[in-house]
This record gives sequence, C-alpha cells and structure tokens, in this order.
Amino acid sequence: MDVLNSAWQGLIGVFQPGAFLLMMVGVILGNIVGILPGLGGQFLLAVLIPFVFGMNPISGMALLLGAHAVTGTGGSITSILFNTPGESSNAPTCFDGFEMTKKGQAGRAMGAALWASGVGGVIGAIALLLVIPIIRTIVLSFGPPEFFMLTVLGISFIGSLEVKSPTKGLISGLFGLALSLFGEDPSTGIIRYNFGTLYLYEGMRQIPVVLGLFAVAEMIDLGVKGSQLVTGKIEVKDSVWEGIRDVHRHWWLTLKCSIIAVYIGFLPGLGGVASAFFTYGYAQRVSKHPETFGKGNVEGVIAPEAANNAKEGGALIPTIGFGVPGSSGMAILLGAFLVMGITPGPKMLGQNLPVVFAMAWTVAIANIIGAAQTLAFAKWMARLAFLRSSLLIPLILIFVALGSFTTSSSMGDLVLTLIFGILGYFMKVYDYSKAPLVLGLVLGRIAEGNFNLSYNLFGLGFLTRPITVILSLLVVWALIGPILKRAREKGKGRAAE
Amino acid sequence: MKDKKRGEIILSIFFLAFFIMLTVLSLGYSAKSRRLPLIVGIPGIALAGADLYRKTIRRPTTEPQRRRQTPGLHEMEEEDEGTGGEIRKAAAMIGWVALLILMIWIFGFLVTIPSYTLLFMKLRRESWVASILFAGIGFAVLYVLFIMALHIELYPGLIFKQ
Amino acid sequence: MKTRAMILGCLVVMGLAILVQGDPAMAQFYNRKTIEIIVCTKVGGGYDADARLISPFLQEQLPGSTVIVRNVPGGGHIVGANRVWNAPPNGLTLGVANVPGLIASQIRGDKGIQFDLRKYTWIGRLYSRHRFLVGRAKAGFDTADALLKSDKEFKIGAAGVGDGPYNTGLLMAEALGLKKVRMIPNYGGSDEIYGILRKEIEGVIGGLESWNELISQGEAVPLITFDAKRYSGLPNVPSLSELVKTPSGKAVAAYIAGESELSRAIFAPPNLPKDVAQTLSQALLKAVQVPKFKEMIAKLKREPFDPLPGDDVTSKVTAAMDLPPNIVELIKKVAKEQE
Repeated sequence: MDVLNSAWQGLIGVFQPGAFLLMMVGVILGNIVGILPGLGGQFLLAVLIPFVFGMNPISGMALLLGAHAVTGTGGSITSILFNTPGESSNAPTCFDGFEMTKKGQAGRAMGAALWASGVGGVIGAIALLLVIPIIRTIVLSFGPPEFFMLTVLGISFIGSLEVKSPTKGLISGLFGLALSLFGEDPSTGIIRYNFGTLYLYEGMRQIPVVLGLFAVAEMIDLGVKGSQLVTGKIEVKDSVWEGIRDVHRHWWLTLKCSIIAVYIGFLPGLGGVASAFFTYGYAQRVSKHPETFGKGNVEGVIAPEAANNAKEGGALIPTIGFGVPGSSGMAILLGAFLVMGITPGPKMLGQNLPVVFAMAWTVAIANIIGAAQTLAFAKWMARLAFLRSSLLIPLILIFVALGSFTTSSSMGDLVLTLIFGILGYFMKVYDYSKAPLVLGLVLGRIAEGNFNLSYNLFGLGFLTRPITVILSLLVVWALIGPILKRAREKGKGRAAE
Repeated sequence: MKDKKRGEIILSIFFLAFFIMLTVLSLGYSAKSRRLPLIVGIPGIALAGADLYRKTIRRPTTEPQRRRQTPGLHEMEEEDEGTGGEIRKAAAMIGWVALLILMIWIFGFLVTIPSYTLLFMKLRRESWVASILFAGIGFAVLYVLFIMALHIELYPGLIFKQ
Repeated sequence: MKTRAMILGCLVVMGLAILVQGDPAMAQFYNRKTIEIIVCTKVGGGYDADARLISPFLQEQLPGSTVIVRNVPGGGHIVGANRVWNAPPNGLTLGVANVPGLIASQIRGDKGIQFDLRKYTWIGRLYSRHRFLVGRAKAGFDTADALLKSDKEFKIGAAGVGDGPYNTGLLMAEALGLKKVRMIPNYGGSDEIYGILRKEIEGVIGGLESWNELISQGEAVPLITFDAKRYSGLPNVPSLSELVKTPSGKAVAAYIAGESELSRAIFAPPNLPKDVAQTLSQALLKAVQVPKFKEMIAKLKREPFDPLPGDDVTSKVTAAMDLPPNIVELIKKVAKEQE
C-alpha cells in the first residue's frame, strides 16, 4: 500500500503546474538539440545544470529528465529523413527508416519511430520500477565475462545482418572491428594505429565516422543522381497514422525490444549504442521476412527506436539504485540531483520513494509528450525530404559539419567525416553493407577490453561461468540459425522441383 | 561497366591493403595488444583476398553464365553509357564536400555557411533569389541558435583568428 | 614643515590606495569580451563539471564578460593543452586539464607535446584533490597496517595502463615495498565501483566524491591518503608519507602528494601580461569565496574549495618538474605494461 501511495504521490508531483511546464520546456529543448547531429543529451544537460541550482527537486528533475528523455528523438528524425544519424545509436534507424523515406513513406517511418520511442520509453520506465527490488542481484551477477559474451553476441548478429553477400558483410564487419582498435589500448598503454598523430590517440571518433558513412555518402549519391531524394508524391498525413498503427500491429516486437534494451541499459559496461543494434539484429532474426530488412521494413525502425528510449529508463536504474551512473548522460544527471538535494542510492529507495516514482513518471510522460510534439510537426518535416537536391545537399552537409565539429572543436573530425563519406559512398555503390561496420566499430573495443579484464581476473576459466555459458549458446544460435534456415529453404526448393 | 568494375576492384584492393597494414603493424606491438588485430586482420586478409580474386582472376566466360552470376547485368550494361559521367559526377560531389571543409578551415563557419550555400545553389542553376534567401536563412538560424542561444563559439577560421 | 609632511603623507596614502585598488582600467578590460575555458576532456567528466560550476561565478567577478566552456578532448589532455599553449596571450583563454598527468607526460617526453608546463601562465588552482587508496571492506585489508602486513594479493582497478591511478598505485607499491599489489586495467568510468561490489578487485585509487556513498554503506574503507598530511575529515587514515621508510620512498610520496595539489590548476598561454594574469587570479580566488558558490559546493556534498593564487601554483609546478633522476626513471617505468 505504501508503494502504491508513493506511486500516486509521485504522479501528482509531476503534474504540478510548475513542474509540468518545466518538463514541457525540457522536452522542447531536448527535441531541438537532438536534431543537430553530434550535440547529444550530455551537452544539453551540462548547459541546463546551472539553471537548476536552487530549484526544488521535482521541478528541476522535470526539466532535466524531460530534456534527457527525448534527445534521441531529434536524431531519429534526421536519420529517417536524411540518413543523418544524430548519434551512433541512431544508425540502425537509418538502415530501414531512410529506405522508407525513399519509397515515399517518410511520414509512416516517422510515425512508427516516434510512437515506438514513446512507448519504449514508457516501458522502460515501468521496467525500472518493477526491477528495483531485485536490482542489486541482477546487476552484480553480470561481470566482465558476461559483458564479453554479450558483445560477442552482438557481433554475431553481423552474420545475420548481411543476407545478400556474406563475404562483403564480413569484410565490412571486420573493417569496423579493426577501426575500433585504433588508439590507446588500456590493457597495455600502447597506442595502436595512430600513425604518429595525436588525433587518433584516443581512437576513431564514432560520430564523425557515422556521419560520414551515412549522411555525407548519401549526399554524394544524391549529388550524382541529381534529382530528389524521393520521387513522386505520397499522402503524408495518412502515413503518420499508419506508422503509429504499425507500432500497435507489432506490439509484441515493441515490447520485447524495449525490455531487451532496458536490460542492456542498466548493465554497465556495454554502452547504450549496443542496445539499438542488438534489437535491430534481433528483430531481423525473428522477423517473418528478414530479407526485407535494410529495404524499408517498418519493423527495422520500430525495434531500435523503442530500444533507444527504453534504455534510458534502464540507465536510470543503477543511477538511482546504486548512485552509480548508468550512462554518461546519467553521470551529469547525478551531479544535478546532488545539487538539488537528492542523493541517489539505496537509501533513496527506502526514504524517498515518491521522488523515485516521480522520476519514472517524468520519463514516461516526457516520452509521450515528446512523441506527440514531434508527431505534430512530422507532416511538415516529411516535406523536407522532397526538397530539391540543390537545396538539400548544402543544408545537410553544413548540418553535418556543424555537428561533427562541435563535439570536440577539431578540424580532424571534419576530415574524418570526409574520408568516411567517400568510403561510405563507394560501399553503397558496390553493395557493401554499412551495418556490420558500425556494429564492429561500436562493439570491438568493448569486447577486447572485457576479454582482457576477464582473462586477467579469472584466467580462461571465465568461460565456464553459468550466465556466460548461456550467452555463448545464444551466440551459437545467432550464428548458426541463418545458415540452417538457408539450408532448409534450399532443401524445400529442391523438394519442390 | 568497365569503369564500374574497375571501381569495385579498387575498393577490394583498399580493403585488402587495409587488413595487410593492420596485421603488419600489429607485429610491432606487444603480445596482448597484438591479439585482436591479428584475429581481425588475418581473416580480413583472407576474405578481402578471396573477394579480389573472384573479381579479377576468376572471370565468368560464357554469356548465360555471366547473366546468371550477375543479376541485373542487363540494366548495368544499359547504364554503360552514363558510367563515365557518373564517375565524373562523383568526383565533383566529393570535391564539393572537400571544398566545404577547406572553406570552414580557412574562413570559419559564420562566413562559409552562407557563401557555400550561395555558391552551391547558383552552380546548380538555382535562381539568385532562392540562393540568397536560403543563404540568409541559414546564416540567421546559425547566429540565433549558436551564438545567441547556446553561446557556442563557432570556429572563426585561420584568417580571422586573432 | 607640518604642511609639507601632511601633503607628503596624503600623497603616500593616495599612492598606496591606488596600488591596493589596482588599475581601474583592468576593471573595464573584460567588458564585452568572451573568455574561453578550454576543458581537455569531453563533456561530463570531473574537469568539465568543475569548469562549468565556476564559470558563472568567474563571470560575475569580471564585469561585462562572458565566460564559456569549450571541450577540446584528445591525446590524453595533450590536444587541449597544446591549444592553450598556442592561443594568443590576451587573457581570453584559460585551460583546465589533468595537470599531474601532463607533468608525467612531459617528464616521460610523450610525443605530440608542444607545451612546456613551466612556461604557462598559472592563474591559480580551485582545490587540492584529496586522493585515497580505498579498499574493499571485509577483504582482509581493513586498515593500512593490515595491507602492509598481509601476504594476499591486492588487486587495484584502473582505467588503463599509464593513467593517473595506475601510475599512482605502482608508485605507491614501490614506495612501500609492497610485492603483492597488482594493477588491473580496463575498469573504465565508474566500472571500478562495480569491480568492488562484485568482489573482483580489492582496491581503487580516487577521490572521496566517488567513494563516499560506498564508504557510508560499509562496502568500502579508506586505507591511505596520498596527501602530505592526514585528511582532516578522516583522521584515522594514515598518509603515504607517514608510512614510507626509505629516502626514495619519501621522495615518491612527496611527488604523489604534489599531484593532489595541482589537479585542478588553471593555466593560461605563456607570456600573459602581468596585470591581466593578476586580474584573472584575483577574480578566480574571489569567485570561489562567494557565499552562493560555497553553498552550492556544500549541497553537492563536496569538500570546501581551498584555492591558491597563481604565483603559488607556479612555484609548485616548477618544483614538481624538478625531480631527482631516479624518480624520473621510476615514473617512466610504471607507465608501461607490467609483465
């Protein structure tokens, strides 16, 4: 009864006029900043923190969580419309979302993406609350060996991502893995592949690479073809609703992906980007038509979008439960909480439950409002995809340059964007899929680090830990599954002859 | 067709060269740092090598065999006429992107953004009105969002650095 | 006679008054100007947070100015430090970086360094960072004594080979003659907290702000402080300097203690005009003393800042760079992978 009471109190707190207004402001800011590639949630939080000094906790939290919950949304829109990911975690949305735009289904893609984000965020918030009692046990049973296996599982999805040409897919994946190895190796202090430059000292920066591979490559392609991104007219208004309905049609997928994302979100050490790729790969594996992924299948949009927002709810869990930030965005939030007099940690669950609920409700509601806000403009934004190339190309290129540069004020980032833009274009022309590359880039280092750590702590015996064994069986399933499936289909084909 | 094939071979060579570089350089690192580069590099060399081999040496001989092995060959051959043009256009677009970066480096964001927009649009045969309008809007949005609202200093460029 | 004395007296007093008040022109110097604090890390770390905390208060002290933070990560703080080194000495660029780390980098002769730490204009320091060896509770190492006497392996987590805590851990082991300390890299970010909770490692090296929570929950216990003297908030925790026995051990302990002093030192390009440097230094000192700032720091559960003016920092940096050759050799040795 006490718990229900706290839940109700938390909910009322969110709807206080001051707090609610601040949440709306946070959501608007989050949407705007989210649109610019590169500038992420962390940046906005850092900028907002001075404003929350002296605010009462629920109001300040409403502003910050409101902003943080929706910064991913802006990136989803640019991913769908212009193949321009806002962050690496938006890359999977590009794979199918942009293809849908090219088919004239921008509205539908956005409707699906935004609604899935909203729903995913809510599920994430609910999962947060359900898990709280057993949080400690779960989080502490996953250590470096388990993280290593999880990354191997993620990487093994590469195999199923590239259905057309396995060789090219593997080359792309290995290339991505290789790129992730550039820079200082924490296990030895040796700086690998920096070619004497300081720029590559800390490794390949993901954002310039991803922006180049997707956005710049696409603009080069558009410039070559000369016309418009989308040819022909489509009724955008109906499409947006269609997208929303898609999420409900695929509600089971939405739910599963959200839950997977929440768990990945609260397991430290894996990185939030992984959840978007995992769920995309998973959605493809369990889909009835996996061969349509990468060509404009709305499931390929729903999965990563739900995941991206759900994982933030997941990242709140260790932040609140342990006082340990679950993501870099959370680290900043933690600082803000302290300033407002909230001390996250197990004590909070005991003494300040209404505040915890208020946080969860804020995240849930901010997601819905953010989705609704953006959906209202979706129709107008979808029109942008119909712009002539001579307008669109400078717009997007400048957009990308700004985003690429602002994160670290380095010209090197722009050069990197150019190089990967060129590579991305030729990969596109010659049918080398980019998904494995990004997957390898994101997971490679994490896998290596966790392997070395596991080996350092436990020797090779780490492979026999129970959860590790279960995960390795999943890896086998992920790798062998597609091969068996193809063999079965060939068998069927032969039988039919 | 020939150009396109040549391009594909160049890309394959790029990947092969990359994996070779990765592997060779890794031999200079300590055992632990060498491990994953070798695990990635050696299969990479094998795969990229096989890919290149298939594209260059093992060329299909008979016409029906060619058609079966390369779906869409008919369309590609029709594109033949335009491929030379395509390469030129790709080079031009790459040049445009490089130009943007060069201009930002020398003149900074505030100057580059309106002038690049204007230049690009004019050279793509847009009207003066549209070009100037868009360049102006771009500049205005930039100024309001970055300078006034977010207080982010935009890179001033080599020329304007004091 | 009396009149002349009075006039002379007045002139002296006026002169003194002008000297004490400072150049009135300086007060206007920063009007309408933007000061950029270059933080050598990405958004979100401790250095970034500190810079963002102080910037509005610094702005208040320099009327008419705007103080912004710009992140220039890369190269282990070297890229940002280079940026400050090459910036014009016009009082509009400041730098925040892991100064002890840069000192070690410069001593080792790391590639890519364009600066000389001795030649920066040091503006001041925000606070001295109290670092501790924190141990996992109930692991058999509940006091420094227990650690010194024990035969069991003591694993200390760190982000990577060659980073601050990694080097400090090995230097500490050298200074104390501990044979069973093993550094475990790959604990990035806050992963080491989980390393302790999952009982994978026995110790970590860091500031109290990260560990207070676990200490109060009884999961961790502070063992040794790296400051020159015991920390007032933890009087039972011995300092490294107390525990070392050999002269070289003492030199190492002094070096490590020096690192704490300089962690939040703020610097500006070399050859900054003296009056500008003074203005900035005074402004920084005053900003930290503003009651509203102190209140905020207290709310954040942080230690009160103990700032230092620029001149003091300059002498500390010079002292830190002048090390006996055997210590230099040691510093070069520990930064590499230990086989």
